[in-house]
Amino acid sequence: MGVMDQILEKAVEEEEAVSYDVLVVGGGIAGESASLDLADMGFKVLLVEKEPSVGGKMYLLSKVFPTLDCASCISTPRMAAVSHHPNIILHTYSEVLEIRKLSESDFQARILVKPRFVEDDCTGCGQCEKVCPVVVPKEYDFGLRGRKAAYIPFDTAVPKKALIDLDHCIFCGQCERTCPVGAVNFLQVPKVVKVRVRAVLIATGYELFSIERKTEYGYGKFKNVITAMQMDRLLAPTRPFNAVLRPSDGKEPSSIAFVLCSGSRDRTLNNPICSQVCCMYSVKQAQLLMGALPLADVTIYYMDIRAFGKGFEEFYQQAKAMGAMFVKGRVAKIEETENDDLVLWYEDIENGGRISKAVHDLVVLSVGLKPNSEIVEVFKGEVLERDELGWIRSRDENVNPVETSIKGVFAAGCVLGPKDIPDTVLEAGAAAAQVAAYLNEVGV
Amino acid sequence: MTEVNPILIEEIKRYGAFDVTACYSCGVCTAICPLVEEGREFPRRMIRYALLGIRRKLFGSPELWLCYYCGECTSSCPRQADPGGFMMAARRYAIAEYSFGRIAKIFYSKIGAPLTFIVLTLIAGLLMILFGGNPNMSSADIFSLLSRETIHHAGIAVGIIVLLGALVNLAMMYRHLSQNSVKVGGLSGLIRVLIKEVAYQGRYVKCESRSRFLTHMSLFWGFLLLFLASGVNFVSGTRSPIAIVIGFVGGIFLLVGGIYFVAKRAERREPFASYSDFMDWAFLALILLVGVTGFLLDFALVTNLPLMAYTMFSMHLIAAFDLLIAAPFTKFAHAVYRPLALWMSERV
Repeated sequence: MGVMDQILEKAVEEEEAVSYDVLVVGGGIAGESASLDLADMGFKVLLVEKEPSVGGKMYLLSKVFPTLDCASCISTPRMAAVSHHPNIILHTYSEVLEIRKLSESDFQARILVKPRFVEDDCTGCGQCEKVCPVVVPKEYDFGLRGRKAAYIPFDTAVPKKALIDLDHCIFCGQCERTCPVGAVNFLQVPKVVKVRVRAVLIATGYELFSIERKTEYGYGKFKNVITAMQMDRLLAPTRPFNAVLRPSDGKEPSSIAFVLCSGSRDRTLNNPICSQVCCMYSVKQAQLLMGALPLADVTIYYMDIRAFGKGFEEFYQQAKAMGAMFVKGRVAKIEETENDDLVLWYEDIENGGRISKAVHDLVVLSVGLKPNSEIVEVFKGEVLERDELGWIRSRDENVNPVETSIKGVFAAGCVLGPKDIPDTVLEAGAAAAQVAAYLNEVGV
Repeated sequence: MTEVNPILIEEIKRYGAFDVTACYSCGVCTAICPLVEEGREFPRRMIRYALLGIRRKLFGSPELWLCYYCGECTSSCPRQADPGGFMMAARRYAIAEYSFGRIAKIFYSKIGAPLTFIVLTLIAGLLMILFGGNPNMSSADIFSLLSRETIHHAGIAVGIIVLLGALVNLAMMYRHLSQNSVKVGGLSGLIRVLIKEVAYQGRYVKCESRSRFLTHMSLFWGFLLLFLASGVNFVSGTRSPIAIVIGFVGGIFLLVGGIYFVAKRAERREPFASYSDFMDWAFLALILLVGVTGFLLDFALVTNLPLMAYTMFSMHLIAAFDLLIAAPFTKFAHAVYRPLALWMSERV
């Protein structure tokens, strides 16, 4: 057990006098959108985010498909908005421990607010980060670069306040001595706040599929096999090396392969469904790569390109016209050569079904999504139902998609099933409307 | 013109490929297969032929016989469509398809197969009663039960029937393959097949676990040695000591192989053993029966136990009769189909 876990065990229970209209769990694009919509309607919203900053997965992306708009340019204003809205109370670095339905439109929630070991006086100047001697892999860059043990999650984090990762801290005290406002406080204790809310909205989204489980692809073993999320980080404006480089030797890749359906549509990995976004984000990354590395070849190995949304097919055709190669055939296995290049084995289905292998110097696994729905375990009394794959079950897929098995508990975004950003934002809006209707129905 | 037949897949599914319609044609099975070589790709292409019902292409493909069912494709198939099981089922269907008048179909019917073996056993028993003499109950002498000449003639008769059956079926298979423009590979090719693939079974090594390769070798050489022993007896006209030694070694080889495959099929853990039809079991049961009764017969002869000797002798002959007569129409026929397919596909 880490130091942090031992500290969290000693959390102090606190009864909060205030009650809220809605508890929104998850501060990604779905949670932010729904919170803003509800707050604009005049409801008091408590937004709880597990990570030290809101933003979720969208903030990490380079651009969005098919418009190629900058993802962080769209999401940072929303992140700032939730933290400034008078009707939204934001708890970051906090976890919901328990939700109990006492009666209709009366829920009691226990929320663990973890100590950042930095007081709210923090100005986000980053001096502590500079002096901290400990370097650990940075979560927000999926390990592509490091961060300090005293750190600000990322440049545009909301709230932009430092925190100290006690599990890696060596207690040298340099941050404490350096901080110009004396905000570092190692004596902070965790607290558990008890609040009453009238409705709950689950927007915990998704996790990337743990693709190391697909041993044939060698992720985690072969250095130059990365996930598409890592590639998105390499392409983002806030990217690690300010260039697209392959991990093993820092070389600029000249031949990049995308392996679609990595961890999706695969019964051997117990995920038989399509993740819906991988085709299009791969097409997007292919286009961005051809801009970033004009001399590089980009090859996409696919079974079928699912370009089903507005402007998607045109986006796909555009990638083809730009010179991305599309090869029909699911990659069966990947092998590593002596100089860390990778050999992909596949059946070239459109060329007579020929058994083929191709060498690439960087392989991007277009990993699928899996539900981040462990939140169901905090529900006491009534059961929040999930489907057999772990996505939250809608009360009715067709006419009531955002209601869950518990009346007064709603869900939006990827926690209901894989979907892209526009659909997620739409669903968040729909959920906000449903929550408002529910609150009006049960009376203020 | 290519004919399409939507019923074919339903027929093949009855032979063991229960999940193959889940296939979405991604090609992982082909790309993961350790035996696939350029120009002779399977299983995906075979599955496409089957799903579309292109009978001529499917049964005219030597690829069916280039698969040794290691199960790599089955364990990596993202649809769990069991491509390895499909290839096995297609081979079962092909055995029926290649047999004269599709007579071999009966060995894949749930009622027909056991019934055929009962009838064969009855025929063998009846022949023994018809041609058998009065056994000498004071000392164990098998020739008092069936005379040397009778055994001799029966051996020749069975041999001719089996050979004829095998040749006719081979010709049928040849016709199927040549209709699909697959040509034989010349004399040197045939010699290479016989040495590298029949005697040594080089492709089996590429595909299989070491233990399965070795036990299959053991089974194969066991058969060969036993035939050799019979041949020596046949030529010398007596129970020669050389034949006894060769037979003993061959019998051990046969039993080792047989027991290994029974254990694997009972365990059902490896893909190739996940589904066994009646013939898979009957084949192994007959092999073991022939082996065990052979050893017990020798034991009874050495220790001079007349009753046991005659019982074992009769059982041994009947089991061998069943096994051999059925050979060209059951999975035993792979012993001739595989070499022909390898020869015709020039994959040596």
